[in-house]
Amino acid sequence: MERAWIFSLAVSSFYLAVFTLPSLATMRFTVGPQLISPILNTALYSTLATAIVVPLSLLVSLGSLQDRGRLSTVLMTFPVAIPHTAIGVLLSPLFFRTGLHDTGLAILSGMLVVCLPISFSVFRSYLSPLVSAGYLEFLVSLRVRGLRLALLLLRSSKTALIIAVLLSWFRAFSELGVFFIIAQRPLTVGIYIYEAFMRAGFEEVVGASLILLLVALLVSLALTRLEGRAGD
Amino acid sequence: MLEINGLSVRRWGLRIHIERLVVENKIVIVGRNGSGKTTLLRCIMGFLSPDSGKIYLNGADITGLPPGERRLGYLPQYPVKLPFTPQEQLNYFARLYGADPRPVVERLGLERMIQGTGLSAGERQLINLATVLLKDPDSLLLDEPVSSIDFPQRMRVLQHIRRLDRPLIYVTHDPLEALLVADELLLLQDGRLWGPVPNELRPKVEDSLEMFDLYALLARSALRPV
Repeated sequence: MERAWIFSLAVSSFYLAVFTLPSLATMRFTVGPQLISPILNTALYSTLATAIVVPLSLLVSLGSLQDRGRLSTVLMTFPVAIPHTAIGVLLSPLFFRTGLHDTGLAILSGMLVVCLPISFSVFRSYLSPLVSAGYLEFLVSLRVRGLRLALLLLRSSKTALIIAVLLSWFRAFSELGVFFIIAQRPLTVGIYIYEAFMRAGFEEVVGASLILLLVALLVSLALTRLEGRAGD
Repeated sequence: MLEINGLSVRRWGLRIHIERLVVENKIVIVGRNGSGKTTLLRCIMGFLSPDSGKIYLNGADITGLPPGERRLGYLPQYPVKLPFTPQEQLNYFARLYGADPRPVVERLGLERMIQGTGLSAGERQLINLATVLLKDPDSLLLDEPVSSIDFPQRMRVLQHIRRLDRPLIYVTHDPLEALLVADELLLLQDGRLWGPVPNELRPKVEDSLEMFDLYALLARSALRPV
């Protein structure tokens, strides 16, 4: 067990190498200006989706901590086990029959569906220990409830809030499966990379993919440091 | 006056039944771990619905009221850390209740403590007690409030609890705490309350408290570092 950290570092380094070394070994790759518009589109909708999902999931997670609300945990988290193309198929009647497929609303809806379970899980895992420590009951006994309670919990959970925002935002940003089915336009990053790869091959998109990987690594580093402070 | 009639509640396979309990002074309920002390307090506070029975506060039936609407104060076992400095916490709840925090601060001797940050567990529990008192409850429910606090601070908190001027129910598994706080003692066992018994031992316990204060005892000894 004393050398377990070596094994851990070796496996995780190999994991990163699988993503990066074959791509870096490519002699030529470019990052074209066509990437900017999909990035901006996806970032805008991710921000909107996060702004909706985070407060909503906090309120739902609060309710799920009461005895009668436990079923909501099941209902909020089951989508993580469904392939996202299947989620898109299940959503498709809503958008195709109304002509709302391939719209911003379809993108936003897809993002909301995939982000809610993640944000909900972050808040629930932060709030559950507070329940057992009497934190919520203490506040409720002091007549703190509703929006005031939610705001106070947010204030005491800046770290959980930041983690929920970051995870939700990047989950929304990286979505692809749902968009394949209901929203291939406006162009999002995932769809752009797929279409460019199919049209022009590996070298067309490897640069963009590596940039996105680098950003994801930085976010992962930030999240790891934040998780160490969770519950402060 | 807090009055409990025919209260019955079931939790985790344990049924608790209280035929009649009248709280007009400081009642301490002792019971072993798992005897249902916390369940009983949570039921009285309204976090758990009883299967049957009524709870009256100053003659009014509060059984169906939400916890925040009951004129009861509740202090949980662990010193809850709210996202405020001590001063901010008291000001926040004083605004919520339209109360003045100064009398409570003076009564508990917290003038210096509220200027600080980075409180110890015992200090935090005192600030939380002050917060509860700002609500001006008619009665208090204290769930082993000093169990996670070290001995010197525990004695300080218990002294303040002893001096409170309203009826309360205090639950604990610790006989020393029970004897220091109680006017009357009850035992919670097998889901029933047994008693009450007047606490005639408190003067003796207070007199002999010095012998339990190992910190002071060792501090007075000629110790050398090892």
